[in-house]
Amino acid sequence: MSSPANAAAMPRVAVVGMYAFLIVSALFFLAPFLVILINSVKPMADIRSGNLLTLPSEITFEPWRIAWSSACTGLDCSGIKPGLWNSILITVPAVVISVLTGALNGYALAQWRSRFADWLMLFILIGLFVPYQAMLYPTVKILSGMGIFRSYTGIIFVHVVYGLPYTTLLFRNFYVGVPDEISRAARMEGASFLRTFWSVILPISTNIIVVVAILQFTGIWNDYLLGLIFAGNDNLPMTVQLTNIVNNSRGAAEPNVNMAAALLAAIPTLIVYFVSGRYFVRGIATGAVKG
Amino acid sequence: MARWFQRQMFRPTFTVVAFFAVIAIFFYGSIGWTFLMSLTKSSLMPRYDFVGFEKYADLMDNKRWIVSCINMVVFGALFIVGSLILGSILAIFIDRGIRFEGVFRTIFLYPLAISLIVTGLGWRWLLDPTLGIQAMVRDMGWENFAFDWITEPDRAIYTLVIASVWRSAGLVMIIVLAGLRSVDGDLWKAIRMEKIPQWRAYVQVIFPGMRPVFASCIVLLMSEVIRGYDLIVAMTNGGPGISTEMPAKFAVDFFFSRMNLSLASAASILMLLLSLLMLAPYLYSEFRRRD
Amino acid sequence: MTAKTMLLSCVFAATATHSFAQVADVQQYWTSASESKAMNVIADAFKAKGGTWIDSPSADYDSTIAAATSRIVGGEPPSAVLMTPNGAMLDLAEGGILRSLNDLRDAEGWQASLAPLIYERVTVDDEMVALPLGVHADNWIWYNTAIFDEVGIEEPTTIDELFAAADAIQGAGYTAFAVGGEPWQELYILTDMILSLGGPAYWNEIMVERDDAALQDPLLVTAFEYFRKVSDYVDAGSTGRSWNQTTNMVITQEAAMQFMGDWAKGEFLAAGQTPGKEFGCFLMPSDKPAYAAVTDVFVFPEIDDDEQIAGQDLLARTVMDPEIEVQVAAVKGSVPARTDVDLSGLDICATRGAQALATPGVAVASTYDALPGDLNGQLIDMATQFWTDPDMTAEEGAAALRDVLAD
Repeated sequence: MSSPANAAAMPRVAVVGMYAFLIVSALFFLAPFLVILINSVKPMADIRSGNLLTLPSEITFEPWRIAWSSACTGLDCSGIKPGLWNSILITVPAVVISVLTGALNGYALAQWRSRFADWLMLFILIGLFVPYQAMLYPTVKILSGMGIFRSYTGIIFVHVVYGLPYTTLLFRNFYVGVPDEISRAARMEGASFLRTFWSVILPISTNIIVVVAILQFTGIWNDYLLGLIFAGNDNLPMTVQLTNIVNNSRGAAEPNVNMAAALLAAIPTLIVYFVSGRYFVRGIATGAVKG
Repeated sequence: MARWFQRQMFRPTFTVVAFFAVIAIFFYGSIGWTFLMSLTKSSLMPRYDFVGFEKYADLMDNKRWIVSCINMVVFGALFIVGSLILGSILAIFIDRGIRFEGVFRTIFLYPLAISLIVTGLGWRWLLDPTLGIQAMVRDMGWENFAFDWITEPDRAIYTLVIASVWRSAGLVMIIVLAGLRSVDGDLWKAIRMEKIPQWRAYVQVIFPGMRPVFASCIVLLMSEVIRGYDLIVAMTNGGPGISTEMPAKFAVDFFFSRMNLSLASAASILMLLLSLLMLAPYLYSEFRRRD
Repeated sequence: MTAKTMLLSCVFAATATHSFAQVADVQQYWTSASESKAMNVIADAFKAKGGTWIDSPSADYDSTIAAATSRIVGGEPPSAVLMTPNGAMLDLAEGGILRSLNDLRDAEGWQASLAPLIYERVTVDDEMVALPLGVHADNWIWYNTAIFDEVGIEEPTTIDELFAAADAIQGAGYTAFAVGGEPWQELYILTDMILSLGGPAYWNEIMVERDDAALQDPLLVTAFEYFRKVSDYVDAGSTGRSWNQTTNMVITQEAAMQFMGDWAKGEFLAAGQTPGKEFGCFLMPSDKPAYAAVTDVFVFPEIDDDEQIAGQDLLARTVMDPEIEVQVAAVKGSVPARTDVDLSGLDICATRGAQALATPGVAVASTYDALPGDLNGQLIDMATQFWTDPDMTAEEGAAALRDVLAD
């Protein structure tokens, strides 16, 4: 077996210790989640009386119903439901394009034999440190020049471009560790750079693709500011409604509805986390070399 | 033209240059424009009345900015080290064929999925001395138990570290996990043959071989340190007083709600310089390795 | 509907019928239940007159401003933006971005019907650039009547009576002042003390004229002493607590009083309480009473689309319709900006507010509306530093305030 000792092969004490650590960590991770979950099924009376960490006096799913379909988000009072489809329509293509562009750029940078390659990577990295707010007006100018300000194309384009430094970094640092023989072998057989990338490199990159897809999905699904400004009224993502529910500064607060809304909005991301992890496979890169 | 294009298909250069152009326009265009704005007196809308480096001098006189920068150093160091250690340990354990791998992985990742405004509120309630952990422990009979860091100006910053590690450890876990799964199986065989203890195998063999993977993590965590502000807003909103202010929150506040575009721009430019400083050690090792 | 308003609305309806479709794309942040209801009052009336409303809501003032300015920069401005008549509005007006409403103002006689303070707030260099939707004030005190009855106290009328009441309440085992931990809440307490001691005239000297001599007045030191004194009556959970959660302490009879703007009323109403019954309200007690107004307004960016210009005209008339002003106030808990409207439908707190707003020399602009640029933000930073640092003396506090406000 070409993997680290798995739990079955470990000494008993070590296994117990490992599970103990995992369970304690899981409890630490779950603590705020439980607070949110418990309060999302509490009547407002409980919350007003200040029992925020105690169990509800009665369990009610009313906050969930309100959050889904009747909380006010502006003139409209129909919860976060209306934005769900928009969020999917924005997130799925943006993640796919983001992964492909990041992989291509990362691979090209890892392959590029030039003394500028490292400098270029630095140049790209700096992009990770520019606050979005500082990029807002210039991006608006460019997009309105291209005629895609406040449009479906516009919002996807912005997500892909803003994600480039992030995706490039992850892919490039993955490809730096992939043995050179793979690309070389493909080139020897006369495959072009793009051909090699598409049919040799991408298939062995499942692990990093999953990572980037998970992170980009999280980022784009939860984005609020870019969606609000670049998507246009017809394409507003669910986060705009979510934020309008959760973040009203002067209206009467309903934390139970807020928490239900946040949990509802997170469900698609949680599904992605759970499902995509299956594609974390062991040793594909190595297999390809030997094959 | 067609032949030129075809030839480029065999080289990474074209791809690199194309992406570089996009990044240069969006990110460096924005940086340039932000720098320009930092030299003006712009308040809410961009204006081009230049006053030189006045706004930078204003920043240096601004107590809140200075406190923010000091906080960022303390917070950043603890947060990056904490996330790396916890994330790596979780990744190692999850990598060992444990039961319910998918459940554990999702638990450690979920903090990324839920709206920060709401998780921040969950944390605030947990840490509130009159509602949360302190009150619960006291109710159980330990009358003198104290955990009121969030109300203490000297300690509130550590509650932010805890919550931020909670949020980002999953990110480290998943990137490291992808890296671990790509480790050459032969390496593990060799380790087993040499009978090297597991922990030493990770520290001395496996992790050093995954340097680019950790580099990705560190850069992403640094970006979070420089750019992240949602959790601070949701948990302490910079308080008590200004004891948990950070540069990103400073910049974001001044862009719109305090309508001081020029000061916010100056802050953004200084944040970029700070990020270059933080990146310096990483870059040094990258460049040295290549030479 | 009175005969006069009916006649007026007929006139509006008549002038509004012309060839263009009337479209209004409204960038706004009234997203909570009561706020949404208030905006719907306006939108329904607008639609009833033939307008098409495109709603562009976002969560708060900041994101609304970010979205609105981005749209202006990108050449697709909204027809109307909800905001407050603060430094940001001044900046937009000075940049020539806002449409002047002088033509409509003169045609409809709006100047005469608005409270003088409000008219002054929405006018920049004699151009009317905004229309008020309603007025709030941030110097209210909200109290639990059961606690007041139990302790046997009346609404205080001087600052000393206020603290005497606090002592009595604390003696009875309640938290006297419910104070939250958001920095702007802390600034309100300080400004309440300054208003109470100095009155409207002094307030205008330091906040509007920012007069050096007035800023040297030892009165400010006294205000900081009172500000500090409030912290003696506060519970341990105050730090970081949101204003709503703080209001809940008064609702649930855990605390007696809260310094807060009249949006707090919404929390009491949502909990099923009635003003004058389970809870009461009074403006910060003083021998020189003041009403520190925070106004909600629409501004109308310059736009070159005929349908949207027609939409702006129709929206402006809708907002200023006396009937609508009263309905919005009733739903949202604010006070109408027009002084010529029928107040009989308002609750006791809103009636008190409307009377104060209409009394000459009582209404002043709150720091939020009065101060240009980021001065209000600097005051917030200063107030929260003083509040959380018990070693800072009142003299140092007054000096810090002077540093912010002096030019």
